[in-house]
Amino acid sequence: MAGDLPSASPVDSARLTATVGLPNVVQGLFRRRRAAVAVAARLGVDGKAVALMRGLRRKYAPGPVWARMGKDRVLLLLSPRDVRRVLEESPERFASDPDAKRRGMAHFQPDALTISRGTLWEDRRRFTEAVLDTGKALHRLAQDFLEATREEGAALLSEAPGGELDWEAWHRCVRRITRRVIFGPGARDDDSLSEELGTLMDEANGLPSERSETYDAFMAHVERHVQAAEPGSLVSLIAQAPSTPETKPSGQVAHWLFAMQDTLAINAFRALALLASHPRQLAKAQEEIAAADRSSAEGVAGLDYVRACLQDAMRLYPTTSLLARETRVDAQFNGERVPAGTQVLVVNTYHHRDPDSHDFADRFAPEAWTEGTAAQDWSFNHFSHGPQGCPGTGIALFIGTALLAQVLDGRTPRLHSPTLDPSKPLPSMLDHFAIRVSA
Amino acid sequence: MDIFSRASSAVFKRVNRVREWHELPNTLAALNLRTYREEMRDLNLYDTGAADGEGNGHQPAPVPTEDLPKHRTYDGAHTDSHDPEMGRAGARFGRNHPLGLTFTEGPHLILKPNPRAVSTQLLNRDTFKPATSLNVLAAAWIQFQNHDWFSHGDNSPEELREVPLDEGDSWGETVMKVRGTRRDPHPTGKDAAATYVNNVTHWWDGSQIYGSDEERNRKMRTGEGGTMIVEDGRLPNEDNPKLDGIDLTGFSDNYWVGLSMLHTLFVKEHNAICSYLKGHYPSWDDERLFLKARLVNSALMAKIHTIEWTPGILATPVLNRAMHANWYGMLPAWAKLLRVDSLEALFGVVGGHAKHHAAPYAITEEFVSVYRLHPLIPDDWTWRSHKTNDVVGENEFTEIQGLPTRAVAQEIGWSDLFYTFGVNHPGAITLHNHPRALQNLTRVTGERVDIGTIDILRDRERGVPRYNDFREKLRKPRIERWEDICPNPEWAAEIRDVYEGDLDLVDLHVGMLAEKPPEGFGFSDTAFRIFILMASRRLKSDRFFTDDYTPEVYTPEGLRWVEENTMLDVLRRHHPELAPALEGVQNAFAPWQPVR
Repeated sequence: MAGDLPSASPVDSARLTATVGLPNVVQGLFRRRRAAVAVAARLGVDGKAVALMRGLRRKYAPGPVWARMGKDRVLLLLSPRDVRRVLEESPERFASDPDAKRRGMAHFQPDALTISRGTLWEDRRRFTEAVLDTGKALHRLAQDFLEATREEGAALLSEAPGGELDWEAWHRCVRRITRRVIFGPGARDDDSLSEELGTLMDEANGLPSERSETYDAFMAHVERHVQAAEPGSLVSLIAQAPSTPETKPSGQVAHWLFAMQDTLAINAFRALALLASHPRQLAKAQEEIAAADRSSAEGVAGLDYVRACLQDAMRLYPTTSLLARETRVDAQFNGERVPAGTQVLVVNTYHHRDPDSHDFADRFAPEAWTEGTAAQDWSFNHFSHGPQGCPGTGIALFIGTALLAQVLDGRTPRLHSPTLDPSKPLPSMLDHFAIRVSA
Repeated sequence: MDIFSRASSAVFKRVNRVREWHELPNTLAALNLRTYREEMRDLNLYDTGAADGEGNGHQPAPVPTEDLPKHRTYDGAHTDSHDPEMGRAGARFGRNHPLGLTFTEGPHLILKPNPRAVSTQLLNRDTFKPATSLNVLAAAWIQFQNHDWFSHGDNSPEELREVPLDEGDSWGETVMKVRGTRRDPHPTGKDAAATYVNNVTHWWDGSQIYGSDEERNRKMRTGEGGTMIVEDGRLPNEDNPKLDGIDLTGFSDNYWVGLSMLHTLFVKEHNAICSYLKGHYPSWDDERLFLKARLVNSALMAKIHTIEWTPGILATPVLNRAMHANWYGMLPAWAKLLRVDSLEALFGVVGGHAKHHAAPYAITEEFVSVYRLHPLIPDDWTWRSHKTNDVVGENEFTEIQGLPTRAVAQEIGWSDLFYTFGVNHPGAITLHNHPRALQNLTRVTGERVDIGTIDILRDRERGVPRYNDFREKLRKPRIERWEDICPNPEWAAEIRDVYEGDLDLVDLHVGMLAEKPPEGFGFSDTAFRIFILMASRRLKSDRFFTDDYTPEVYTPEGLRWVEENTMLDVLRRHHPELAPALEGVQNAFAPWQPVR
């Protein structure tokens, strides 16, 4: 079954650019822009991307297929089989730092693991896994993280005006939790740290070629917290972790801050919106929470269904709509040579929502994670998979689950905005800025 | 028929008085065949659903398309969009001849001449006559396919017909008792034409490996990833202790090592398709993977039969193209772009919609009759090593069939079995080439039979007209002179003697074996006429080869699997050790290269 890899027509390439490439840039590659996100959600561009990709798969299965996105010639993966292969062979054969990503990220976290290559990547990955307890059932500081989450969650609920949660309140809460988990209680109110990172990310959206003036100030700020090494925080574990002069621990910490304070906040808020609009799933989650000991880390880790709700929210609305890789050496796909330096794209919004592959594609389906095979399915890459799978998966799910459990315990939240109807296919996008939930 | 068909029908009627279709130039020959098929679609399809043969007039409401299952059902029901029962296991066989002709022959006629005499004097193999353009895999293949399409079920132990035997007949008894075909459990009426039911699905759906009911099917499944049970490269043993030594498979009647090879090979292919689909659809459950893989595997077998086996046994350029047209012609327009030439376009089964023509789809009794091809089976088997071509064993056919099947397969091993089948010829489909072993065969039921006698008796019992009447109903001229019945004058004389000078008594089976086939053909033109009607019908009537042959139903990856694989690919995938013998082989059913 060999043969030349097909090429998408110019029309399909134009559609790809319009539904995948451009929206990603316009909404903000690194930090989402409120107005643009609202427009994209209203247009349902992710849904159009799914339709386009389905069409491409029907024509060119099993793929992959050459396409143009903007001015770049890219290789578009159509099948989870190829997705799996590429992720399994990353970063050795497929580097995860294509030009745009490297340029954008270099602006606010030039030392990040995800844009490192070769032995440097191995060095930083080893360090990161050691601090984050990657792959362990519970982080050794899970109980500390839980207490921070519970306190901030309680504050959020008591402060919510009229019992309504909006994005600003939620985001503030998750940022506080993030700073406490990473840096300890002393960083709880250091909102300017989060803001500085936010400003850098805004700038990075424009793919600047020069390093930001504010970067050094921000890193000095991070460094101060790292040096403090408050007990019970992630940075307190840095001293014991294996590192070399190249590891740049503060550079890694900056990435954790980014991933938790914004990404986790968005995902957990969407999970809450889904639960607040899906009575059956909500009842099941509440039943699980009522029977658990929420005050112990083990109790929270046992909340399989709540955690599955968060996973499925991330599947439905992946914050990373596109994974990009670059072939470091010549690769073979379906018997054809793909030269080194080729951009390989995984459109998460498609693989997560392909109705041909998943019966539950457009439904809120936590049971796919608790009873089904979703957890082993390499179609779902909100945490990615393989050697470059997110090393903070465990911590993110733990904190997100703990926060959701706190909000749901004894409360029945209702979604005020936007409208989600559990009897209909879910919309392709969910604007987190617009979510309002009564709790 | 449309105007074009009517006109060409009139033209070819005149042309064929002077020249047969196979004596015409290719393009005209193809047009001539197309015309035959159009005529037969009007005149040679009869519904046995009603006694008058006019159809029962009952038109059930169509099932809305979105409600039809997007997979093949276990018993073949709900394949047709109007009639859920059509083609289901247990549905009646149809007819190619008017029902008025299809009565069981009366007692004065049914033994005339004695079928045992036909067997011993005309069918008996004196010397093995090979079909040199084919290999033995082609012989096993057609039986493998027949078992997908039809079975009359176990014969009735109560209804015994006694065939008197001559003194000195080697059978060793005074009469031969032959069991009757199992009766239609719901016959139409006392005076109605003979009807029988098909024990398996009529559809081209791989029921020989998947079974024709869900219970049987589940026994053969692992329950994981859609796969079927293969243990140490073999199918499991039958769970019925009386069939110990035969594979547990969808349909295992008349089992022998050749069938075991193909059943096992295509169960492995099923599992390969499952694993391929699972890679592309990781979240699919066992059932969904199974059903999709079955669709793909069945279509692949149908394709192999249509564009590999058929042009192998009917080796003329016209047929090669016509069969490609049958396959590619029925596809939707997007797929047709893959392969098209003017001749195919001319011959192609145009459109992409299911159509039944004059009667509901069913395998016909006449189709069963023309597929009696027992001469293909050799009696003597010399096994050879696929590595060295050295002789590794010898058997007679009797020893490699029935209960010893699994033991033989185990002893020789798949590689040498396939190799031996690949490099040897089957028997030619002629008179005096019926395998000895099948003239005195003890079935797994303990019943001792002469398949030659049965081949003759069955057509008379089931009301399939004798040779001359059969020809006439296909608008072929009756044979008027004994010298025209067979190109071999000696054989013609023997036939005359056995039939005591009555040309109209000559059995269909004998007439077909006696005929001189068209150049390159492995069987007679008479059989071929039924074939051109029914072969395209198996595709044209089935929504899974027409309206639902789509990426939505098969998955785009599944369609690609069907399009990109051949019998050679299947063999190489599961038996890479055969690569040297397959080198340079264009058609897996043509003789392979002996190694060394």
